[in-house]
Amino acid sequence: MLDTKVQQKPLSTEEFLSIINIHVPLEKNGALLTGYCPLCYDEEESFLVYPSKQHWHCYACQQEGDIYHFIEKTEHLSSSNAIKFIEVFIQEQPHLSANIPHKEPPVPTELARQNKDMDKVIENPTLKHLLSKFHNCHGCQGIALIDGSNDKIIGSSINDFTHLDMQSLHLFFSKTLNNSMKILGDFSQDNKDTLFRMEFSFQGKRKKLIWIPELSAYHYTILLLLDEDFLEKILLMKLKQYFNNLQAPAAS
Amino acid sequence: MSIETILSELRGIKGYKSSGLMDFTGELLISDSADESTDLELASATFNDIFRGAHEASEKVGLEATTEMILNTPNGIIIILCSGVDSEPHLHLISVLEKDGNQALAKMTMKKLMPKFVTELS
Repeated sequence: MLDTKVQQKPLSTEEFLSIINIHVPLEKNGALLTGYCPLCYDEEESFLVYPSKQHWHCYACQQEGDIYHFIEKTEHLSSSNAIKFIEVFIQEQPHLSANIPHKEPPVPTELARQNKDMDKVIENPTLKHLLSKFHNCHGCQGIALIDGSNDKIIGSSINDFTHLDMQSLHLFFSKTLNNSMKILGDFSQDNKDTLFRMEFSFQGKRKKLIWIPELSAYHYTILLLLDEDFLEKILLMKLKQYFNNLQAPAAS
Repeated sequence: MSIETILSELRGIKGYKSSGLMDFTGELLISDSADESTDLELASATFNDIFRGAHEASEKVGLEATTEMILNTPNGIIIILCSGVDSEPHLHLISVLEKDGNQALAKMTMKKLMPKFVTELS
């Protein structure tokens, strides 16, 4: 049941498809669009989207619904948070938000309230979306985004850790590993596809820390803090897909 | 059961290249290799240093003991497991797999073998 305090707004077809596209690259197939289901990961293109009805249906897992159900299921959000998510997403896309009256500023993430440094990130819609998207995943304790070109933390949503903590971990991974890779040249010619995973105890619980360098043409590096039993494969796939879809920065 | 026999249990894992048992300083006690192209002595010494460095770096930011470390590179996977800082002897076990090797099975097998090594060497 949807929260009556937060109202669903009608979306344009372009907005509807842009939101579906967060999780599913779609191909036109007559009046429909098809793709791989982000809920059941079926190997066939069982995920059908009806743009005119703004409806989706997966023939493999038999799940279906409107855009709000889609975001509830893919982002693991409540009904009201799914509505907020969609509002924020549309406002962040300048070409989509042109026709939408701007009523309120986007809802800041919990960490944004805690950490003033996040202001810089909040101004960047892509990064804000990324941080909120992955911070909301169950079992994902947080994410830090680092500019690999100068080793500075762009934003971090890892509770209990400061930016300085994250930066020192990043510098360790970056410098030690790069030096070691030079010694062990046959393991890696560059950082592409390199991933560093470490398990440890934190506050009595098993956690894992994952460091992924040089994602995308922006040279973003990511640090993830996850619960021990978190299956990171899907998250990593999504992350790589997300960064692959980012356009390369303009040459200066 | 000899420690060589215990270590050879890793051989059946898909993509297995080599493995070694070290003391915590990185000195190789025994090794096994299915692929002569890997210089395990160099790899174990280097990655043991990384492991100890990771341990120090994580302690500095308030994390507790690092117990395992996995490094995926374009050409291979390196897994290091620690018997625990309080175990006697304090051992590190390293495995090197091909890029598409069965990392999950290797990790599980290493976790299963570690207590056997500690028992044999204590």
